[in-house]
Parts: sequence; structure tokens; C-alpha cells
Amino acid sequence: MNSLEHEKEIRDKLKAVKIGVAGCGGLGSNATAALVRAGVKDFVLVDRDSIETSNLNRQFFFSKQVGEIKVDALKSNLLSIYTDLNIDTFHTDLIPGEMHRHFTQCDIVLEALDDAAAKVAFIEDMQINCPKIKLIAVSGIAGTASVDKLEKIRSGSLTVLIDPEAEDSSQGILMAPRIIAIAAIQALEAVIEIISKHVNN
Amino acid sequence: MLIINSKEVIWKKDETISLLLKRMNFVFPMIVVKINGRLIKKDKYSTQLINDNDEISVIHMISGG
Repeated sequence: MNSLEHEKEIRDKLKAVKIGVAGCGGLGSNATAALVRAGVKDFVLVDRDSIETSNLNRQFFFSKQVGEIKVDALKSNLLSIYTDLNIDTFHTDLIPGEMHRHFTQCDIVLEALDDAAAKVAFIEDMQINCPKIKLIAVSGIAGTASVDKLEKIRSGSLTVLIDPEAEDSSQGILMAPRIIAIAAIQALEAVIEIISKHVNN
Repeated sequence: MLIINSKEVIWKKDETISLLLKRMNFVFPMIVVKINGRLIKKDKYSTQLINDNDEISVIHMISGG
């Protein structure tokens, strides 16, 4: 296969998947933008919040969008990159026991929630109710450390990107370069999963 | 022998997940436990026994997203 055919094969695979995003903050908004640019067309976005001025230092939103619902603003921003996207949005809390509900049709889900307890509950819910869906979670984004220490723990359909030395977001500083880098690594994990899975089939 | 987070650990008979976590000094409350690729719900920690040769991941979740 020549390189053009190989690229087309990869782009076709990216076009064919549906990616769910739980939380549209620093990780979710930036990871999704990277995936749209990579060629993913189909998304489910879930977030309960509206945009605050304090979000603008790291999240993929703009000052004129302060006050808007995050999932709506993110959908609009993604559609300004490419117009041919299919994006379902849910402006809602994730309810314990039903957290997987919006993601059952997804091939891959990104865990991009803020609170550690919510992360644990979401991973539990997804892995129990949708064990076949690839779940990519992140633990430890705050602080100013390099991303060199980021480890990948893989177990079954779960991958966790973890920086064991990172600070909690309530204590550590949230810096765009680090958070965008980790969001991009999370998006890349999804791309690698898409390519590897479908090439082997 | 058990594998916990890629490290070899001695297996003990009749040890539950809770006891293993205590033995390993995993004191953080915000953890995900997987055994042989399967997620274990928190309410099973005090009853589910660890088998010899189990491969266990204990993943500490830190806030930020």
C-alpha cells in the first residue's frame, strides 16, 4: 500500500467512529478539538456547566462565550473547524448508576471530569455497564511539571493516563500548556485505538 | 504470587481486596481497582478474595479535568 492509500485508510477509520466525551473542560474541549482536526466526525458531548471567565486560560472557548452552556459552545466551536460533524450534546449532570446512559452507542469514551470521586464513579459505571467500550481516563493534570512523568496504565478496555506526582486541581495551578498537552495525549490514545483496532480487523 | 501495578507481591490466602489495599498501604480513597482486566466495584472490596496469580491494577484518581 502506498502512503496516500494508507492515509486514506486511516482517515476513513477516523470518520467511522463515534467518540463520547464526559466533561467539556480543559481536557474535554481541547481533546475534542484535536480529534476533529484529526478527522473524527461523530461525537457525544456531556457537561453540566456554563463557561466562566476563569475557564478561558485553558479551555477551548472564547471570551464572547462566557455564560454560554459549555456543550453548546463547544459544538459551535468544533463546527467552525469543520462543518460536516455530527454532534449530540447533553447539558446535564451525570447521575450515579446512569452515567453510561448517553455513551452506549460510542466506540470510545474520554473521561474528562474534574472531581476525583466523579472520575472513579464514572469509570466504575462505564466499565460495569459498557465493558466493551474503550475508556480513556486521566488522573493528575494540575501543576507545572513536565508531561514526561505521565504513565499509561492499561487494563482490559480501560486506559488511564496518570501522573502520580501531580497535584489535585483544588490545590495546583491549571496551566494551558500542560493541560492542552495532556488533552492531546488523551486524543492521541483514541486515535491509536481507532487505527489499531480497525486495521487488525 | 500476585502482580500489582506491574510489581510482584506475595499472595496470601483468604485475603480480601480491602486487606490487600491495607497491606500495600494504598490509603487514598479515590481509587479504581481492576483484577485480570475486570473492574471491581467498591462494595465488593471487603468480601472479594484475591486468587493466586491475579493481576491487579490499583489506580489512584486525582481531581482535574
